[in-house]
Amino acid sequence: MVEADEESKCVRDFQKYSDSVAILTSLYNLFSKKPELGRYVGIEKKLFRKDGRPIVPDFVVLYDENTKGLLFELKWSLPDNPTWLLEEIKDLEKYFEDLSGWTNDVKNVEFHDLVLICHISDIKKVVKLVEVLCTSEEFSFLRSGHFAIWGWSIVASKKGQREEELRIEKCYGKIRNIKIEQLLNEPAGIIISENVLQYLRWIFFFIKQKPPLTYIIAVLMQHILNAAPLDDDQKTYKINLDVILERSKIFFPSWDNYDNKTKQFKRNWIIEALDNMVRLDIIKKERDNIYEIPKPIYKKRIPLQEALCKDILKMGKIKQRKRYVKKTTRLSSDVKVGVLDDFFKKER
Amino acid sequence: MSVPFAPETFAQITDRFSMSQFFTKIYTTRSKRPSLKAIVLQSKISPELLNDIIIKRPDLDDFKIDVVKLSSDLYRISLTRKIGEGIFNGIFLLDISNYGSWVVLTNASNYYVNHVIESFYDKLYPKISRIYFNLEQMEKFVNIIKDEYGGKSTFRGFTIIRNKRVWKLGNEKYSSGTFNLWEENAEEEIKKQSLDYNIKIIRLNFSIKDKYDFILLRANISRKGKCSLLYGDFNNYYYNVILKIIDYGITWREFYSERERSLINNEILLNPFSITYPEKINMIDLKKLSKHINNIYSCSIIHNGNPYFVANIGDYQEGSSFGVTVLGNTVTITPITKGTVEATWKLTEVVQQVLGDGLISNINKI
Repeated sequence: MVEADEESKCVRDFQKYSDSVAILTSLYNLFSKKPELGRYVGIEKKLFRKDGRPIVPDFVVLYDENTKGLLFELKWSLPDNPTWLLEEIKDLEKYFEDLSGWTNDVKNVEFHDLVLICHISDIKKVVKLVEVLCTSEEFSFLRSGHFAIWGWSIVASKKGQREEELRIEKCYGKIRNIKIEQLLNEPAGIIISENVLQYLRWIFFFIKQKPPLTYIIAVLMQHILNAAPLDDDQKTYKINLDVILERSKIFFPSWDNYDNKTKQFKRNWIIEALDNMVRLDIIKKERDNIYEIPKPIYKKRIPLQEALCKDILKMGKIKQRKRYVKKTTRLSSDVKVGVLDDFFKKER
Repeated sequence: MSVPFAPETFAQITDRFSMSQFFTKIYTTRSKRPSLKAIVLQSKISPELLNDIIIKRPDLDDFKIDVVKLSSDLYRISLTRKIGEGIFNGIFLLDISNYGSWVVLTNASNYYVNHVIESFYDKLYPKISRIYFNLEQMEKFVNIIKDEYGGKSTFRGFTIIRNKRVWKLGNEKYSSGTFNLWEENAEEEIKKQSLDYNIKIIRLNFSIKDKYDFILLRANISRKGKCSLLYGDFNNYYYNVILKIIDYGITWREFYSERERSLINNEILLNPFSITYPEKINMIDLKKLSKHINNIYSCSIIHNGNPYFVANIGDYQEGSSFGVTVLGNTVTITPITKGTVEATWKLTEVVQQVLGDGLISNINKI
């Protein structure tokens, strides 16, 4: 039962991350189509605090003739553990400092607000915590007026038809952008254009928050490692890590604007995924930075993420078992270590 | 070991002229004979490489091939396949005079064509790929042929597979399965049925008559670009039908080309297209679609059709990848990596195999 739960959580995480990427597209689409709400400035755009340290929100908007700012922080998943959740909330404080470097021509703004966006299933716990925290002076930055929490969901349309639509609703707080607030006060919240569900969701592949392992492995397998043309008698091919990283860049459209630290961070996602693929025996590591990729790669009859979740959980269990075996079966000094041949000779 | 079929050797054909004479003689006399099948394929490799490919690929070890070059763009090919205990061999002609397109010509049995020739070329995907027709495309195509012949009228018989889309009171009139529709108003009838059924065209039989009601051409065309000549002058058939299939292939190649997700001036560009149906796609069909896609492609299904369907799809053999969604009555295909013409066209066919023939149209570049 526990195994089945873990597996379905793993599959659900994959879906939540994929849909959170669609939310990033929704924001992009909303502000590109309705510039009167605000001007799209950037995704993972670096802004600077007073002391010069950078912060990188998921999405940045300017409005009222570039005099006011709006930041969006997207979380595809929030921890259940209250201490970790508190850490996540505390971490938002940095966004409330005075910020500069909005665009080349807009150095400072009069004020800016923050919107935290998460899946409707995470809303309850985060709102509950924020409502408690904001009463204390330490967390006054969470008070309504310049901070809001929005929840997204994909639900059957209210028109009574069976089509589904993507909705963003206000769940806590308020921001100072009146036009957006008016839009959110509609009974269904903001209904995102059908185009986002149909194809725009493939503009982006990642949000700033680290994706689940299955998600990066799937992107690597389906869109990066699978693309190599092979000769007729070739069953595997070798590829250098640098080539994989180079090919991955197109899935991070802001790559050129990233600083070295962010680039390294994203590289590590990919390297970690590749290492896990080696552990799962999907690919082989030839030597440093050279991987051997089979063709076809990871052929399964069930959806890729389901197969991956099963294999990753199995790998975790084997690892645990191995650790356990190591601890308990320590060889004593008088045990002779020989080869199997000797053993069989004796048996005969 | 049995040899159930004595193949045509085409020994008298040495060049295009003798080929044309040979086929015209056979297909303008009224007698019973196997039809002349023409399969239009898409490939840029040299037919002389086929033998090397068979040697290199262990999964093709049941095939044997002998390629003889008759002239610069015409080959005579003998292809043998072992199926169980039986050995099936036959000879066909391969015309490569139109760059990028191959035309296989043979009057071998349907069994040999389906299980040896077509199966062989399908296994060579993506080096050699097929062209596909759906209902709408095939209807338009037959009208083009009629105009080319300057014909007065066409008579059509449709072979379709239909599956009930929705259970409604009154639509229990027809059952699901394969059907031949020969009525004068078959096209109207299909349109009417497409509201309640997924309809997939398999073959369209047609004959073209001149103004004196003389038959100019009797032929049929399949959804996988195989055209069979039953009666008619070969030269006219070649120029008015085969070359038109090649033109059709070029037009749709253009439609499917350059659709890969790309990054230009720091902006991501997508070039998706859609397949639209007269009615909403139901959940049962979406379940069938996800199972079918899973059997063929590397597939991560994000929403399994409740009724929104979203999947990332990777072509194992060819390496192209796609985003596929179904919402309401529309399937949207967004090529992501590579997105070659061959893979994109094949995926469109795979989707229509399950959901039936829809209307394929472009979505403006984003």
